[in-house]
Order: sequence, then structure tokens, then C-alpha cells
Amino acid sequence: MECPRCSVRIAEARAVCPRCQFSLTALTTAVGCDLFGIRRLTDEAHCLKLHESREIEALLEDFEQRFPQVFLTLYLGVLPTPFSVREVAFLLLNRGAFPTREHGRLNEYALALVIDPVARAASLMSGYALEKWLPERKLGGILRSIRTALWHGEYVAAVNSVIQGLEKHLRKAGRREDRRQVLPPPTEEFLSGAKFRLLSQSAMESLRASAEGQEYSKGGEMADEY
Amino acid sequence: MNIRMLRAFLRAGFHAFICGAFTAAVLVAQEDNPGKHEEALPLPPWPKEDTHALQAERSLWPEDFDPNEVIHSATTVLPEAKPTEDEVWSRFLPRGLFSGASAPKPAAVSGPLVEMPSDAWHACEEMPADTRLFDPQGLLSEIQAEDMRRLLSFHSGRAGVSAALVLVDARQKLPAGADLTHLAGGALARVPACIVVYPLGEPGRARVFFTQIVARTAEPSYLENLASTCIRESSENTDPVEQVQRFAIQLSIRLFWLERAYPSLQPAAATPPALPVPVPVPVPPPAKPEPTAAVPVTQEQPPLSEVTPFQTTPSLWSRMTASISQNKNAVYLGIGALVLAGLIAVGIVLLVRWRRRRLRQCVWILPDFPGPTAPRFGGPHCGASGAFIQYG
Repeated sequence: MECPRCSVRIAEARAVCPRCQFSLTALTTAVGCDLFGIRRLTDEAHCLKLHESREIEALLEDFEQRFPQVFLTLYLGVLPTPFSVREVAFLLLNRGAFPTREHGRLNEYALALVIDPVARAASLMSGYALEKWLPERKLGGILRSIRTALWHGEYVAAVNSVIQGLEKHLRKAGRREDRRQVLPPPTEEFLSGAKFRLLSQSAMESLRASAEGQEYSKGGEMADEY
Repeated sequence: MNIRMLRAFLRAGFHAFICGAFTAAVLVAQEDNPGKHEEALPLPPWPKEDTHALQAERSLWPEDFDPNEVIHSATTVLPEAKPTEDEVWSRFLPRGLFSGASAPKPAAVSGPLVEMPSDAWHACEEMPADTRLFDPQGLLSEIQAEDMRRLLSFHSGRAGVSAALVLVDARQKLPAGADLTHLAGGALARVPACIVVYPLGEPGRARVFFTQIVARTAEPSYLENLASTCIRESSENTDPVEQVQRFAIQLSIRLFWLERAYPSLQPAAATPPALPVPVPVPVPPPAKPEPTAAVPVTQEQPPLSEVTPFQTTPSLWSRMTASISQNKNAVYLGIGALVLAGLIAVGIVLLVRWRRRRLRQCVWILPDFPGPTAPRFGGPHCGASGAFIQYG
């Protein structure tokens, strides 16, 4: 795997990046929040139109219905300068919560697609349970297939391609069942009533404040100040 | 008063009956003998003194000439079968002179083909070397044949590729052992020439032959197009004589175009051997015409190449119908293959739709997560396994 911050290649499991001292604890300290509620779609960059948001919501809901254990979250935001899309994806998957009423979904089966329209960067990250069927090589292929759509700002087409690529690989690993035997997905009513703090503009503001107060560099010299 | 009126009435009725009976009798008599009026007005006879006086004055009347006999016989002969103008003139002029455009030949009737008379074919073989129109059966009238002969001779004098026309009747064909290289004593086989066997009235059955020097120089498709064009041009008229004239004119034009397209066939470049000296008639047909140096004729290669004109038919529809009629099995096979391919395509589309519909109704359950693994970077749920791109 690679370090989300300095992209150094690490062969074995490490709690802290040996180069930049990156870890989840340092990241949550910098953000100032230990738990986030995750929606299917978070458009902090405000780059989606209303119908595009609805279409993406429908695509993500269909994906969740076909794979009841898995959920995919899409985060569109303009990140502060020191943070990268990989760090945000890592934070969402480890400190995010996807509230459901009927049954829970483990974050190990979660996928996060983070797009920064200004930095023109995108990251697709998966939990531990999906690493076996969605290794980094396949995720990289899926991301490369949406490069043109992202460049043109066609986010609906990009999300559709990502879902198709994910389904193609997950179908091989899954067992087909009748839909009637599976519980329906969580409703919006339940999600709105959940007592989770959303990763919204306020969280981003806290990220920016922390980044402005500290001189951050990817070299890892200031990693302890998180 | 009543008796008087009755008498007058009976008298009038009697008179009316008498008049009606007479009128009916006259009408019946006229209907039974219609020439009675003509006989009632005979020509005045010549008195004998007048006839003797005319003969005595040495007039044009021959001796012992009785003008009454002539007048009497003329009155009886004239209403009978009067010879037509053509029949009258045909007593003095060669056969068929007035049987051309005014009296076209009947259209060719369908029936089995018969061979051309052998003596007619032998006549073709024995014709002079400069003959270009072979019509031994006299199918064309004298004027038409002369026009055609002049046209073909003019063409042969100007063009490098001569044109020769062998006319057969509508339902005739060449004899079994006929060899076109023996035409005109074998003279046509030694020069670049185009020989057409033309059934009068059936231009579609015309067969076009080219000598080897032409067949080797020009492309087959060009020659096929030439033959097709000539046949199409002649088919635009229904009169058999007009058809053959159109065919010959178009053939001459196309042969000139052929020389332009292939300059080696032009008279100066092709260096065709000069036409042999006209052979006096009759000439015994040579058994094996000796080929000249310009046009070597070998036993393996026939001196004439036939061009089938309908390989390139003028219109797409006729080409399609001709090819369909010739290759019915292939057409049926192709149609069957198309139908099968269409059914397969429709089946594939339906199968894909059915699979998509079924996929929408199904869910996939992934295997259970075996358990917590060694966390990476302190992440309990995700170990930063993912991908990253810059698309800007």
C-alpha cells in the first residue's frame, strides 16, 4: 500500500508511516472530530446541478440495493492545500458512519470516492473486506476509465462508470440471492434523524483553520503538530 | 253518306296496297341483284366503221384489235384481286426492295432454334476477303444491305478494329461445325476484328467475338460493356431492321472508343497486316488459315474470344434479376443466412435485456469478513488501500 500523504510504498502493516509519520490519530486530531456521518453524496464543492445530484443518488441507491453489504460514498469538495483526497478518503472510511435502520453496514465493506474539482484529483479507497476483490490495481483501472469524464465535469457519467466497474468485480465474488430475501436500504428519514455530525462545511473550516495555524508539509517534519 | 265514305276508304286502301306491293317487289329485286344498276349503264360500243377507220390511219392500234373486248374484259377483271403497288414493282426489281420499313417482318416467335442452312454458311465462307456484311439468306433488302455494307466498309477503312456482321434469322443459330475463323476465307481472323453473329429481330441473342489481339489488349470488362451497350441500343427499337442498324452504328462508335482507350489498337500502332487481295469467288475455304506474324494463332489459344454481354448488364435491376435467376440456390442460401443472422441478433438483444432485468431483481451477498486484521496507519476499517489520479 501507499501512504495517503507522502505516497511512500509500504510493504508491511505499519501503524505510522515511517517517512511522514502519518496515522489516523494525527489526522483526526488535525480535523478535530472523531466521528462523521456519511451520506451517499456530499457536494461541498457545489459543482452538481439538482438533477445531477438526483441521478447520482439514484445510481448509488441502486448499487446499495444490489450489494446490501456494500456502500459507496461520493465526496465532492475543495480541500485545503495540505490535505489530499486520499487522506480524506482514509478519514471517511475509518471515522465515518453510514447509519441504517434495518441492518448495519460495516465500514470494512465501504468504498469512498473523493473528488477535488479544483485540484483535479480523485481517489477511490476501499475497506479491509473489499481489498481481496478490489485491489489497488483494479481500483486504479476504474479511476483511469473516468479520467475523461472528470476532466469534462461529467460527474454522473463518471459515477456510473465507477459503479459498473465495481459491480463487475464484486459480482464475481458475491453469491446471487433473491432481492425479496434482503432488507430494503435505509430511508432518508432515518438518515436525517441520525445523530451524526456530517462532514460538511464546518468540518472543512476547522480543517482550514488548523492548516493555517500550522505550517504543514508533506515531508513529515510537522507531522507531530497534528 | 256512310256508303260513300266507305267506298272512298276502300279505294284508297286498295291503291295503297298496290303501291306498297310494287315498292317491296322493287326493293327485293334490287337486293337480290346489286350489279343490275352497273349493267344497266354499259359503255358505248365502238362501231365497226370507226375501228376500221382508225386501223386504216396507221394509228397505235395493232391489227385485229377489238377495243370492245378490252373494255368488256376490263369491266370484269378490275373488281377482282388488284395487285398491290409492291407486287407490281417487284415484277421488275429484285426481291425485297420494297419490303423494308413499310412492311416490317413479323416479330420473332418463340420456338426451338434451327440451324442456319449449311449452304448459306458455306456462302459466308466463300465471300471475298473484304466482306463485312454476311447476309447469305437475303434477310435485309437491297437498299438496307447496301447501307449496312457501306457503313461497315467505311468503319473498316478508318478504324483499326474491323467490324463484321453475320446475319441469321430470328430463330436460327450457327451450324454445329461452323468456325467463324473461316469467314471470308479466313481473312477476318488475321486482323483485329469484331465479329457479331446477329439474329435479326432478337438482339439479345447476339454473340460478339473478338480476335485475340483485341481480347488480349482490352480488358474483359470493357469488351463486355461494349457488347452490352450495343445490345441495349438496338433493343430500344422494335423494328428488326432498325435494330440491326442501331447495333451496327453503336458498334462502330464503341470500337472507335476502344481504339482511343487502347492506343495499341489504332491502325498505325497496331500494324495490322494489310487485307489480303480479294479472293476471286468462289474460293475454296482454307482448312487451316495460316496465322500471320502480327496475330499468332496457336492451337492452345482460339483465334476468337467470345464476349458475353450480359455479365455487365446496363441497369442494376436487370443485373440483379439475371444474377438471381442464374444463382437461385446461392440467393436462397443468402436470404436464409440473413434471416438466421437477424434471428440470432434479435435473440442476443432479447437475451441481454432478459439478463439485465434479472440482474436488477437479484442481489449479491459477499462472503463474511473473516475478522479484524492488523490495522495499517491506525485505521480500524480501512488501510489506505486505494488508487489516486490527477486528471487535470
